[in-house]
Amino acid sequence: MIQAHDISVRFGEVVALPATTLALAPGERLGVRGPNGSGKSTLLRVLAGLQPLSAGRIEGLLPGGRCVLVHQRPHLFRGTPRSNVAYALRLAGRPASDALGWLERLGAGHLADRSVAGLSGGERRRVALARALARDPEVLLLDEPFAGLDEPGRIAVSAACEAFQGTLVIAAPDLDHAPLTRLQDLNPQPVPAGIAAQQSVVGARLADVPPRGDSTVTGS
Amino acid sequence: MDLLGEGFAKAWHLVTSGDPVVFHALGVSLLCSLCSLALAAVLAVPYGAWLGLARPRGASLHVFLLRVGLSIPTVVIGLLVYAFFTRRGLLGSLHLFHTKAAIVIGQTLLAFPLLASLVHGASASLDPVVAESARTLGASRLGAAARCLGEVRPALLTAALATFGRCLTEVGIAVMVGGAILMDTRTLTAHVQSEVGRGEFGAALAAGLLLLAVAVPLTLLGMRFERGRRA
Amino acid sequence: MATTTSTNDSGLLEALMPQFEKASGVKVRWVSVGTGQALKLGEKGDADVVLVHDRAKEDAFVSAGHATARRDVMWNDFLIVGPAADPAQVKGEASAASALTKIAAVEAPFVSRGDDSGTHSREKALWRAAGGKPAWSGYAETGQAMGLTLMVAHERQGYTLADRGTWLSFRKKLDLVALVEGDRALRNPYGILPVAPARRPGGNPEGARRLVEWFTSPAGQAAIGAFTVDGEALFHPGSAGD
Repeated sequence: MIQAHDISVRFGEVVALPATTLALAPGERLGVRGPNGSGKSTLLRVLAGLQPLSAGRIEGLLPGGRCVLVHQRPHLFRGTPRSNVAYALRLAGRPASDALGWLERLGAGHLADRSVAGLSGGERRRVALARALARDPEVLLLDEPFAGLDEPGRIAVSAACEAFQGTLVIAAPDLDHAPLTRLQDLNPQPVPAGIAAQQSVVGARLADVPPRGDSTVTGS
Repeated sequence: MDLLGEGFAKAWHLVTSGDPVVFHALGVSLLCSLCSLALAAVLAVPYGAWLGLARPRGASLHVFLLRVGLSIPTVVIGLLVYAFFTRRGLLGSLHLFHTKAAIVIGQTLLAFPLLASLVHGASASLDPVVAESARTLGASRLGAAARCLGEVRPALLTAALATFGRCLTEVGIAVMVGGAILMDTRTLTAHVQSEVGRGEFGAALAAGLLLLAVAVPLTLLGMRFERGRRA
Repeated sequence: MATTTSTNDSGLLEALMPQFEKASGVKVRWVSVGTGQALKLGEKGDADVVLVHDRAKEDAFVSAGHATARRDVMWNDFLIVGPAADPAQVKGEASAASALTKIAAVEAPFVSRGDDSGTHSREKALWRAAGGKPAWSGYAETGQAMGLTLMVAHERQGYTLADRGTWLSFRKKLDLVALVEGDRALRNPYGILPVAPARRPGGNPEGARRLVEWFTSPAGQAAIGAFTVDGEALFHPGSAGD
């Protein structure tokens, strides 16, 4: 259970994430929608515990491994897709021999032993998702997982998301393909009415759940 | 031009005859440079990586000081080591002056700022996404830093080669601190200087060519790594 | 002019050359290197005049046609310095050669220039006079100038043969004392040699001639005798008398 109260992130004068309130229940599949620059990526990095807050309060953050973020432009470590997935498996304390299975689940089994340097953007995205899933996280955060994918790629990623049992957050400008239970919009420049509407929706959800969290991040 | 011809002829003779003085000097050069590189790496790699990856407050001051350190002439480093290790110095009782160990200490001081700033440059050029990817998969801070260094492995190898070459080709520390003692602490560069002092320009050039014969393949190796990085 | 380190490091040239330049209007630039290198510079035509101290090499230099003449200028002397403890008991020894024999006999540390300099040549000559240099592990060669060699001797607490000028300027920094001096075999004559014009096309043979003349003139000789370091005369004008 992650609860964020009025969180925002600024880099100097630049607002990377306008004030946002959000609750994330276990097993939920949340879509975060918004145009470029609306703060989707920043929000995911906050939820992944990688981005300190400028203001607001957040509870229930999970450490790396239990909550895994797949970046908008994922980085694959030097080597092969297999060695990348094996790295995640090692961190999870599981046998590296499972690596191929995870790649196959994303339709990337044939890439297993290629050099990551030669992979296309879509292939990288699939390998990165396989690597994240191999870690078996409780929360999975995907930043634009469908961008640059061809049709088979989209189907494979979609199916993998559907099969994922944990809490899922997907950020994208449009979320038609995603198997989601709820949508939340982010706007680039918060207009008062928009914020009010957003907060009332989330506020209603917050009321449903008793506040609980094992970590608290307070904006500085 | 007769000097060049004489130099090449003598160099060939030195190599084929296995001249003990020159090969001992080459051995001292390689040994001291290697030890200095290893010692410097133990300190400079974590330090440079910390500056480049964690970007602590005041990192730019550290980088500035490293740059200053880069421009300290080798004889000044030699003087510094001299001040500490001479018989009348603070650490004189260790009797390290005019030993290979003293050369290694001096060359480590020479190598540290160079290696640290190269490691800093390599790690600072990394996209933050790299460290975040490791962290979000559950790697510790240290584990993520190690991953990041793994990502810039070619640059690290190039840095190590450049540092090794710097130690191999310097003469100020080797003479000042090592004393250039024949068949003991005389490095190849000190040997070149000694031969020049004797007026044996041909023999000096020959020793210099031998040094070049070692340094050039290292440079080529470095360029290979550099290309590998861009690929 | 190519000259040995001793004439430069002692400050002699700095004191003398302005006097010559004032008297002659000829400007002098000099490099100070070992005797071997100084002669080589002359041979290659990189200098107009050579001022060095190694009689045998100087004579060979003239007979090879590199210089037109060799003139006595002055002499100074060498001395054997070493640790105050003096493990070889050479202090006050009248003969430098027998002092070396004693040092070798107890295998005390001895630091040699090992650089074919005039000092090194003299050391080798003294070993010859002592019946040859035995090999022992305490004998080290630096291949470097006198100052650095004295420093090595200081660090190792060993003996070395030093020229008086460098010794005077270094002795305060060293835990070493003068042990053997005054032997005639330790006298060190300096010769001045104008490089043959054929060896140095485009050189300045007229300037070279005037410099050699000035050094051997009464004015030049008086200036050499008047030069002192710490109140001690370093160079004695004229020939060493051998």
